[in-house]
Amino acid sequence: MRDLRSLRRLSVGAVGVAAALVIAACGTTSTTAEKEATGAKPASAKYDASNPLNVVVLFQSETPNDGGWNESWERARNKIEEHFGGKVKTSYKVSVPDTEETVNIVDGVVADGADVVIGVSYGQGPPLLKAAKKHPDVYFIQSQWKSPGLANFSGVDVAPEQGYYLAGMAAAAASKGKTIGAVVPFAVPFVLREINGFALGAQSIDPSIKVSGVLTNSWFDPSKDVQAAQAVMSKGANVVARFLDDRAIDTAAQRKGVYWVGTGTDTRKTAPKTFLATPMWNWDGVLTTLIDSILNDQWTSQFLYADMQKDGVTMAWGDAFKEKISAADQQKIADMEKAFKSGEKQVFTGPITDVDGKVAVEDGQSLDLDGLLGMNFVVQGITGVRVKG
Amino acid sequence: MTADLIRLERRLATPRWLMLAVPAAAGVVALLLAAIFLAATGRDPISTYRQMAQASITRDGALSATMITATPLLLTGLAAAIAFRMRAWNIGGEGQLYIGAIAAAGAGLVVGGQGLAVALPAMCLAGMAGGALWAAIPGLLRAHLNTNEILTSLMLNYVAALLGYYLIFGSGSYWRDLTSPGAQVFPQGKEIAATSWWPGFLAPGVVLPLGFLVGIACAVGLFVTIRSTRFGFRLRVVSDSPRAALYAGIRTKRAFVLVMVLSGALAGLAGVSQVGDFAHQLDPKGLQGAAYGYTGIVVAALARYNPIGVILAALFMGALANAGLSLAGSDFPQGLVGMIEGIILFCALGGEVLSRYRIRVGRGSRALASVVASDSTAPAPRVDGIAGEGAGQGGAEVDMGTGRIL
Amino acid sequence: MNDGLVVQLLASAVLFGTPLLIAALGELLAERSGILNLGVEGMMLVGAVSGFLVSQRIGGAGWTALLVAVVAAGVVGGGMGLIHAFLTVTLRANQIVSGLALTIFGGAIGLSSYIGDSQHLTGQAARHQFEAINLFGLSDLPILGPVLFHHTLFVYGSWVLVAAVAYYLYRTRAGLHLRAVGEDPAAADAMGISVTGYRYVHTVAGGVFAGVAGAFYTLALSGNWSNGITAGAGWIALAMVVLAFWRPELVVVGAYLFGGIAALGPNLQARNVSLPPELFSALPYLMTIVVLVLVSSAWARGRLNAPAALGTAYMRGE
Repeated sequence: MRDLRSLRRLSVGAVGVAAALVIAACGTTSTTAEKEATGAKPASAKYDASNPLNVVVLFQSETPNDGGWNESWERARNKIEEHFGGKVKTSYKVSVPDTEETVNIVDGVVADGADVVIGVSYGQGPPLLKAAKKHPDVYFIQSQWKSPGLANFSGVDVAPEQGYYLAGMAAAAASKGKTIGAVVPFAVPFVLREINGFALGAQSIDPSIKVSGVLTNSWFDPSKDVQAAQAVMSKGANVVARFLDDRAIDTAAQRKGVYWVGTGTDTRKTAPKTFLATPMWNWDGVLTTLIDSILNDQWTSQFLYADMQKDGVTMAWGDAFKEKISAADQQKIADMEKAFKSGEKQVFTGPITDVDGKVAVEDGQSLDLDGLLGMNFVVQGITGVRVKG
Repeated sequence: MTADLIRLERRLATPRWLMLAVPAAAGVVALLLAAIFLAATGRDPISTYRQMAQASITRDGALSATMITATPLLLTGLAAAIAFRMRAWNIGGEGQLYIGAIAAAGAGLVVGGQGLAVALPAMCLAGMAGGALWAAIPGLLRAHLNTNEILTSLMLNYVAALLGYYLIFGSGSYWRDLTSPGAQVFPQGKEIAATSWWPGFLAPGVVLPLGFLVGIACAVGLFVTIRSTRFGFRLRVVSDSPRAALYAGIRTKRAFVLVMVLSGALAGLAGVSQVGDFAHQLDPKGLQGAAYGYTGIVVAALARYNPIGVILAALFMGALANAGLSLAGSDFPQGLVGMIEGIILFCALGGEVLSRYRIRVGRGSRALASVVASDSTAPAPRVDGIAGEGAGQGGAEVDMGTGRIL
Repeated sequence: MNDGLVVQLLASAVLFGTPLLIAALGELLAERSGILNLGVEGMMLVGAVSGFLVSQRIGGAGWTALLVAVVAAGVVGGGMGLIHAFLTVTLRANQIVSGLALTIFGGAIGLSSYIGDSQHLTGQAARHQFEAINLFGLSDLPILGPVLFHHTLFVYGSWVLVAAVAYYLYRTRAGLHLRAVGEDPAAADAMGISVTGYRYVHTVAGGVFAGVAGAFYTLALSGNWSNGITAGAGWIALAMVVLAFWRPELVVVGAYLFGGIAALGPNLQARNVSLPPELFSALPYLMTIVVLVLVSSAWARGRLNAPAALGTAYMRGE
């Protein structure tokens, strides 16, 4: 009952028989909540310690410390608060549904004085867009959504493919066999960017290596997740990468002496002995840029892509990385990281063929931002993950 | 057992004043109990309650938000109420809602362009048929193969959820939007034509979704059907005294399947309203997170399976849910929200019981107990869960129409 | 050989069936007394978080810490059961609402989440874990080794519990009384059996079992606490009681069947069998239905049914 649907738009309609029966004083006006708010950006105001900018982060999980995606945003929230001193005050809401019921929650935080609202889950996009129209004086920052022309709405994203590319290189270098296991929640574009990047990175070390994926059809279910990990390990994988936030997989891998790759947040404490790598998502950089622009009255609606150049993605390496990977391979990985950081290398640069042998990216070309955000192919060498439709 | 410390004696009749006083008292007790929790964890109970009231009732738009939550709960509550009243333990309202949403979204996509006059009945029919068919599976299995419907209907919830996920996440189905920019970043359903979105009605201070009004019509219809029609009488006989039904020549198996189908159709209608009123597309992730089907069981039971009571219980649960959503955050952990909601439900339950029982504290005697026993001839409602609820037509009817939920 | 598909599935059946088995055994005890408790999921989560908290905070050797942690999980689960018992037995409240409210109160959005949050348990590395024991040195035996002799104490303990519950139910006087209370409380009352007492004890026992089952997730499977870690296992445990016709010996079959079939999907996917993964995920639920249909239509008619008084409050004289 925590995740509740909402009405998108109640348009004008004829008064039905039932309505007439139930409510005598019933009118037929449409909701007037939606002001047309597209033109001007929010009015500028001076923010300082006595009148701090009030930032509210909307988490999807029941707690911000979920050991993964939400926690990466929580790190950013803490860093921002520290960075801006007293000028910016942050707080958060939890269990914010992926649905437009969220509009009511935004109404509440705005009534309590929020100046900036940040949505961390992709599904919060539509309700936040609606809320942005309703509250033109409030700034909205939303994960992975581009503004459809709303002046007070900006989008941000990280570059998961870069982090996973390096993790994939390390996995192939550490692997004794030809199969790397992967536990995958759903074949949605963000996850495809991750696992495709991972496979390409692994193949850059060993072109014949295979990534054996198991789709669990859920975002978190320890029984299913461990079953999936055990299944790929029983097929001989001695590295398991996970693409969802469940540390039970880390434990299961360590029990078998299998290396594991995490996601988004450094959870090495759970199973330190066989921890190999985790790509970290760092949202503080892009959020700082956007908040700075508000404080300096320079805000424009934009989409910020936080790749390694912007430190949006960094790597957390385990001891196994230094101890089990040859110096030559370590050097290759370090070089590649440098190339990502300088911007001279992109992950999805052709020729890339998909699992069906079709050309996914033409030779010499690189995917643009829309191609990344809407990724709908699986690269060769991955089994168990398919894209439909 | 000679002496329980706390004993209950049944009241012969519930005085009118008690019907108001008990819910009020239960509310006060709930607030006090929760206040202890809040104070113990260093929070100000008063401001917490104020925030809850604002989020669910008083703030601009809050009542409308409460209606949004109450609408599906009203329909799933009715679905559970009719089934449980007739002793068909259909806990598959959740899955029947999904199937209703799938069917309604399908119908809406096919005929949506032809306007509300076509789309509204088409979506309703498709969704109700979908929910009814999904509920007919456990119904038929129970009637003809003696298979426990609690288990089958529960398992089918998971299957229905996976079907929804398959249509949007796992395939390029007719339901899935493969073209719009948003849907390319994350899988979504196709939107039905805006001309077929369901209208809302503006009452003073609140927007009523069409689905809510449909739900009220259904509640009234069910109430009348069960109480005053031949069909309703037969159902009551079948559920309350199956043996008598057999003698009377009523086909009990068919009646059971009918009840399941009716219940499934209502749950399916909740799915239709999700598509028509709110989402305008098939959204399996949102539906699964919301768990309206399961919460509908709470709603039905709080209303003691009385269709009119379901309306109030749905509003109550809707308000509670919205209050909780707006509380949970930095200075108010989600865990406390659930605990407060739980305490409020516990107290509501306790209060409901006390309106029909007197408490005696201390050591009772057998003599007293036998006096109580002799009261049992009076046609008072029975208080219990599954098997006895609504048992005895007299019992159920005493309650009908009072609309008590607490 | 012991990495083969069949061995994998059988070993998974035992491992992942175990928490379902323990929780279902507890629910079976409560339901046999006539009390339906839909709060299993909430009780499991509270047990999971309490067990983890205690194992993290207590000093001493690993095995004592774990033992105390499991006991704590049971005690807290039992406390949750006590709430349900008070509401449904003493106050005669509606059992369905009370159970669902218990899940809201204790579950992923309630008490368990609060404990995990306020004690900062998420992200903590487990100090102690149950590890698999090589029972009688037989874990390398072909097929049977990994399936039966390489598990944690939870698994071996659950076998003892099944035997104990079955013995209790069928061979002891108290078990006979329990069945009487669940079938016909008025008659039991007339015989001088304390209906209230039996219902209290077994509802609380159900909570204890659920709490211990929850601790499996934090202390044996995951090695950490995450919010909502049981991910719906409590609901499946409820279904297992029905599938087993309220018989402890059949609960084993049901729970292992579910655990094994649930592992089928991932194992086939890892072996490159290409079918929609949603179909694999739906298999355990569909198979449970099929099994129940087969069993109930062919053989069980009338003989294996719910306790007659399940879900009804008892009031002397009614």
